[in-house]
Amino acid sequence: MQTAPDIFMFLGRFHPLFVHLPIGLLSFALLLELLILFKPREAFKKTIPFLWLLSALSAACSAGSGYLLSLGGGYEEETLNLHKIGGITLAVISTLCYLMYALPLSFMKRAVQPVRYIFIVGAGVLLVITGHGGGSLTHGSSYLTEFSPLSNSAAAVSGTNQQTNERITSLDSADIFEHAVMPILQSKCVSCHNKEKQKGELLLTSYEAIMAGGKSREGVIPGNISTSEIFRRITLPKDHKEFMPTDGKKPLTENQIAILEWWIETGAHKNMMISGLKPNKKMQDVFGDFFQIGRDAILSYAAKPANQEDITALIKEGFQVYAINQGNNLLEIKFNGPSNQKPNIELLSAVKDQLVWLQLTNCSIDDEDLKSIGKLSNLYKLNLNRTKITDKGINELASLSKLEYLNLYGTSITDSSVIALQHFENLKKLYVWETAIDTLKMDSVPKIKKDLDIVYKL
Amino acid sequence: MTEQKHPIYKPFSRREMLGACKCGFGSMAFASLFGSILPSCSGASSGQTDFMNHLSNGPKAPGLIPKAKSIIFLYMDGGVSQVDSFDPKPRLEKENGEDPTSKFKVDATQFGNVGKILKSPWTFKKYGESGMEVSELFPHIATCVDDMALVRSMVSNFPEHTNANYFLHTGSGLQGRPSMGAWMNYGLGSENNNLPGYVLLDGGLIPPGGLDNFKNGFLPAAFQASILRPGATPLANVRPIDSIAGIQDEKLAFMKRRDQNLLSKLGPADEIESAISNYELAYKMQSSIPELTEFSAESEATKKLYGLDSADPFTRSYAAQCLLARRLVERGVRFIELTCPQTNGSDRWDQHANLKIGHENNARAVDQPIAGLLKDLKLRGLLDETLVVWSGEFGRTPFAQGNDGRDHNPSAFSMWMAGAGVKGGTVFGTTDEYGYRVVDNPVTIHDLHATMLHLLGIDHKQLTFRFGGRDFRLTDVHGNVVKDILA
Repeated sequence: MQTAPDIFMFLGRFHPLFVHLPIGLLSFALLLELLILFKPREAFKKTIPFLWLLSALSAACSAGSGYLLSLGGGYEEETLNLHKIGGITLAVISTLCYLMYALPLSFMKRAVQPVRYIFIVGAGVLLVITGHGGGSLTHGSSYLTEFSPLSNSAAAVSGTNQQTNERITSLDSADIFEHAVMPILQSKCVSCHNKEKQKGELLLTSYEAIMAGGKSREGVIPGNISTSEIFRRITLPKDHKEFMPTDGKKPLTENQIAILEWWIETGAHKNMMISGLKPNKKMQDVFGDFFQIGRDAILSYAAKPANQEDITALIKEGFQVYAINQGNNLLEIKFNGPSNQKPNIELLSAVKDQLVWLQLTNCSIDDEDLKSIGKLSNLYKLNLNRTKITDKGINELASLSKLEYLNLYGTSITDSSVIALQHFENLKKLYVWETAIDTLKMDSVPKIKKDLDIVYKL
Repeated sequence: MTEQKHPIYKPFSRREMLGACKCGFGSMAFASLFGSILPSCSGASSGQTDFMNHLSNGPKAPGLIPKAKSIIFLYMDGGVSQVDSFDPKPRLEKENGEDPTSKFKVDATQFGNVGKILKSPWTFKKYGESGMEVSELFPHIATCVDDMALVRSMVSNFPEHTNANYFLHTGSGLQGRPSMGAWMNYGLGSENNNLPGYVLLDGGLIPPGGLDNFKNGFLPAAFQASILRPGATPLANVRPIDSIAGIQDEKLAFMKRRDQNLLSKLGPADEIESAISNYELAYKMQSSIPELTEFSAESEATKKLYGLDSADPFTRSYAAQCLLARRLVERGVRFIELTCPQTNGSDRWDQHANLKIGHENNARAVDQPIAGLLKDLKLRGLLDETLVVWSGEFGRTPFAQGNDGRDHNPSAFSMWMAGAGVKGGTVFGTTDEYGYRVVDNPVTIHDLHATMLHLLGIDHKQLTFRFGGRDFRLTDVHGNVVKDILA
């Protein structure tokens, strides 16, 4: 994709270094010119041509390296062009300013003087514009104003936004309005419907204002999506005149619309936990997606690389050792039979920091071995299917506080293990098919742990 | 130079030179993909090249956090009719027998024999919590809809089997590109040293386009599909033919010495390296394959679940393949493709005539085994790490070909995925009221490939192989991951 030769890119990368020189030097030159107007001291006058020379040289270097950098691509076209033209013009103007001092032009001083002032003022204006353009290219256009007290952006307008930054881990602790509806409106609507702009006389910054609506009618009628104006507007065809958000701004995603729809249908409550409104499976998934619940908890964990000797020793003993992905050093270790063999479990403790998924399947490990496995404290996933473990050993696993997935199919555990396992805090998936559990009882007795998915029959 | 007298010494030919460079470049692409795992393979040392290490080192860590470790691709050869399976169209019922050309623009079809609008001979019902509509052709698969993500808006570029097959399998309508299974095998390797990473379970029907659908193309030869036939002997010579113990070992050792000798003279040559590794793997498969295909350890309930006790021999045959697919997944095989059984008198799913009988025969053969596979994977916890993909190469027309058939239609067809990383119960994309064209969220074959690679933890833009002067990808310069069907 990158077409510029490497040497160009190398030189181009010096641009961030060079750019700060003309900014400083030009500011200095401009300041000095201003000083001379009021205090025309000889020392100042002698310095100024030299300063312009330095400014011109550094501006040329910046423009040159900047051009090389731009060849690599990846910048927003419009801003880049402005920045490019600004930078080159600035280099030219600085050079001209220098030449006006350096060349013997005193015979036409009356003509030169006004031109020089125009250039100087022009250089000052260009410096600000070009500098800002460069900043916008690297940090994004909202970087400067994001936390400005005058800003209309969502982050600054919202008083509640700070609170919603806390991570929601369960639907029991998520308020439908505060944690779901409000953040959606913040991200897609509030930039136009806030106290400063209030387009269509609609304000979407508080519950009361949302219900009240704007010029056309009430915003939300609890329990009735067809007459709720806000919902009508966001679900119109995208090319409809009244579709919101307008002006090509990013429309709401399917999930966001589904959440607003469900909120209105269930009565548009202000203070209500999501789980209290009894979402069905589909809505649970929608909210799960929205809050990113239970997804890739593993992503937040990384470890030091494991010792190569430890891995070699494991492989020698018949374990299969895999990297989960590149970069986080986490390991998956597998021992898949034959059923009469017993893996050397003690070896695993050497890679306990890296080991997040252990599969000891179809082999002859028993309750005694679970003691060592219980010490592998970083396990997220554990497969012990078709082994000789029983109820007695299960409690040894209680120390695995990160465990989210446990596969015990084909073992001889009973109902008492299933009850014990429901006290494992983070467990989300449990496989107990073809075990000694009483499936009829499983059908009738309600689960203690609501978010645990127990797979025990077809 | 004494070596010049050696009978097999010869200078590099242009072809070998390019071949050697190809390997070097390939490994460079690979090295950039997988950090410093694979050193350059530009030199042969003591007969064992680094390329050989690449093959024997086992799986490579993916770049993203993978959801799936294996893919089972259920290939519905010939093109299932979308309006008779997963995309109900009540309007066809209403306008049955009317002239389609008066309703919408009809594209040229393969046989040009455009008949009247033809309603589906089957009724649809809503299933599961998601209420996904499935026709009565697939009563068993319908019980799994809450685990499936259905895409009704698939489009292909080709209205004819051979090109469409190549396109579906290799991302290009032309013959000779690497198959998706080969790409995935190349990208991640097999987790099992005793089995190949890409297995084709041949149901009895090799699709139009032939074995080139499953080849390695310009990738190293070791990454192509290994084909297991249905029946008692899935592979030729899987039982050693030498009667005296040890003779086979000696033969193989001798052959390997000769090959490595040749290799050390010629430098890296994909064909020889692949041959050596193939001999080694074939030897290991003499014990791994009989163990794999021995179903005696499976419970009766499991066999019944797949339909191994079915009255229909084709159901039994496909059931055995599905069960085999699960056993391959358990053993860490990366990509498994199943082709359809050759049902009586019906040419694959390609019903240009006799739609009712043909589709019913085909559906009966695959319905229960596929549902059994999904359920069995789920019970064992394997569906969390296995992606099951069901697709044909294109769809069929909503109007008849002749009186009772349907012609090819690449402008819309249905495909579903289930398992690892897939949002169950999702329906994505819409077709027009006749099911003839996609009107919303079209999904291309490239998008399908990108999504499959994504679920395996591979960025489809990063998996490249330098050939003929450019870095090739499975998705060429296309492909977007279909995020809406992912969990």
